Amino acid sequence: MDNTTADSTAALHLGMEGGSRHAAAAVAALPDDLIVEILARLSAKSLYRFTCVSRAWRALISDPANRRRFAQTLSGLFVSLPDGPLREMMEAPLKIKTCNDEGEWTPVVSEPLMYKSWQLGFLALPAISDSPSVIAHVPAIADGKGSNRMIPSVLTQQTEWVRVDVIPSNSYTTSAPLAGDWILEQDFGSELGAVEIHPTLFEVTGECLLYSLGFERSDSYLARLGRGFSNLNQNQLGLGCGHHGSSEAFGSDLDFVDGHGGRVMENMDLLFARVGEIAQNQEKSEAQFGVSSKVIEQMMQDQQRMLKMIEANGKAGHRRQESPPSPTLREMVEAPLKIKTCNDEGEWTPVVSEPLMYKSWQLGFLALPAISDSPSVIAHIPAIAGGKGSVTPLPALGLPRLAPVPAPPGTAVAAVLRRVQSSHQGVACLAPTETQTRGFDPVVSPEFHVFQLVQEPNYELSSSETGRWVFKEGDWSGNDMRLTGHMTYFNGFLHFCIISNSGQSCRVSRVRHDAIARRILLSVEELFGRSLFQLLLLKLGLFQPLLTSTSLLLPLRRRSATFTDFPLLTTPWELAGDA
Amino acid sequence: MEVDKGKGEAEETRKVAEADRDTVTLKSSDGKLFEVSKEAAARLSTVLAGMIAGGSIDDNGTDLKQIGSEALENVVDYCNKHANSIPSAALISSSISFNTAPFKEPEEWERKFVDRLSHDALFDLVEAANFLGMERLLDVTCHKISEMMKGKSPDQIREVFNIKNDYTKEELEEIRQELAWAFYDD
Repeated sequence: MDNTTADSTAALHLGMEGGSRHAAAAVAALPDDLIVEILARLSAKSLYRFTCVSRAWRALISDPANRRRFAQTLSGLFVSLPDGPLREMMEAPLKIKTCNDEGEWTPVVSEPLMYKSWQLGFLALPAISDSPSVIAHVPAIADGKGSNRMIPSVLTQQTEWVRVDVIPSNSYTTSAPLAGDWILEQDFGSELGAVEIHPTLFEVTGECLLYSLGFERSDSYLARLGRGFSNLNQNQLGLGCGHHGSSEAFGSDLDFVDGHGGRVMENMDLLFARVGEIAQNQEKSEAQFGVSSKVIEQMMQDQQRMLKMIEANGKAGHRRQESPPSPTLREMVEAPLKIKTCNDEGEWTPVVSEPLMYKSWQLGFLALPAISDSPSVIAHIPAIAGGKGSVTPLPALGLPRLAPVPAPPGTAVAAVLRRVQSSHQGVACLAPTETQTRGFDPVVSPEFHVFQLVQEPNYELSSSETGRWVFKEGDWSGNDMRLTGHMTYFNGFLHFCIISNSGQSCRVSRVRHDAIARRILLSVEELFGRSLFQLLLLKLGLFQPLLTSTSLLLPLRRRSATFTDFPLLTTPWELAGDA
Repeated sequence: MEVDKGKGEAEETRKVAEADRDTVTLKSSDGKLFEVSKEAAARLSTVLAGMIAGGSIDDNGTDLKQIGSEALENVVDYCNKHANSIPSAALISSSISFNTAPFKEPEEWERKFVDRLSHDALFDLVEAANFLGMERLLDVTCHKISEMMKGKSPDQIREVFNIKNDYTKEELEEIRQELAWAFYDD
């Protein structure tokens, strides 16, 4: 016994080979939950490296139910709002309004965001001013399987919804990875800049967040089900900005909506299926979210009524005939994609790829086919692990311009950049400070963090993993007056980009996060020294919002770069190669 | 350990006579008997605690068919030697499934305890701890295994865990590309 122990110990010190043959029998039987126990103690790097071990392990590692237990990279809830100290806002009690069936609004003061967000399954953005806050559901807390789709807002007339009014000047991006896959579309701000507050409705159920912008109609697509459906918003709550579209992906579901209209509800059964799920979760919902069963019943009744109504007067069919002959969502999804890729020389190559449906979980990319001839949008669904996707915001379908997002050669990294509003479309421009950057880590996202730095001298970010503030950004010196700064999460690192006032320098840092210390390393060399890193830089011409929008996704191969290395383009969303 | 085992077997006969004992006798899958303090067993193992409370402890040796003698010996060893320094299983049991806080580091003696184990023994012990609901022991053993996994290649892991590589070469390459950052050397 003692001899055996000594031998094995020696073997362990040398590596693990020593005992492997004997261990085989026992270990082969290790149940999944024990494997997860063990994996949960690994660093993120080891963990993700071991997705290579086997399909079974990859499935375990990427399972959202397990992910919350695993090492997080720079996970956290990141909220960036242009005005006011972030921290103050996050720690302030929330002002939330809820609305009952009579349309009466009741203010609710809730716990501060920081604590509320992961405790109650809600993520809320506090109001900056006196206006009501934004509240949104973080679905994964409930059961680890969040999803998100559009509300048919017809239903909102009779049911209790949380109403969200967003300050026009706001623009933000949030992500609460530890809690699950979550991203909040933050377009409201830019959408509303010149107009008025735009109502957004959230339905809070046991498992998902539903929200609706005020479209006349909306289309949604559930990747998990492989089906799309459309909603006709009969009560036009919103402003009917027909050009607006948005999309969201939650969990393995990609939901997107086409604001172009012309599509009516085709798959009511899908909705009803969901309602059935909701009903099943009724008790749970009640307990967790304070949604009364009455409300849920009401909601179901409403849906039933709506179906009958549609059946009765043939409205669906009627509307459909009126629709413009645009391809259906499904057709688009199943059509081969037109994708452009770009090499280092800045040359674009069109690629015709497999249809979205199949491509999306096979290759880890999700691509939306172009509606017109414009290049497609490609986006990454990080869930390498077949089918279990996560958050990827996608540019709106149906926008006049789609954002060609490059898939750089030799990498599997792609990014989606939000469109830029332009005023001649009748939409407010982004205010100078409301620059947005989005990106995602192909590996670690659902933990996809992108957020903005605006012209605030100090920023702190909060990590939902630790519940602490992990970064105080106040050290950007000195001579460089920062016009804009962005952070983008790539390759397991958080990148910062700063462009100096003179336009002459570009400073980048990255966050290294290991299990021991999460520190910010401000080091140009460190990043530029590593050619494999992809860096997403987004510069929005701050004082020429109409004119310039430059996005770059390029390998950094030099030890230094200046801003002038990145040609400024006059069209939104052109890609600049490595000039 | 030999002593413990011998003692366990020797005591088997006379233990039957003793009515009110402060120990429980556990029987491994291969029929060996081990004795462990009732208090420690109840405190460290939610399963044994339940059995003791439910009166399903067999004085002639409670059958633990899932656990081999070597693993059970280690379990008993762990209980007997270190019972006093460990908080109640009940207190930490809730931390296992939903905890997202950092894991508690093993204490020094716990490190030593698992360090001396052979590979087989360690993996057996993980299973035993899991079966018996010994959260802390599970914690310590999992920690040890995860430590051993650090810096290992997927190949090495496969070997150790006896896992067949069911990826194609192309798939592996794809993953490696996607997860490039995870394959960088530090």
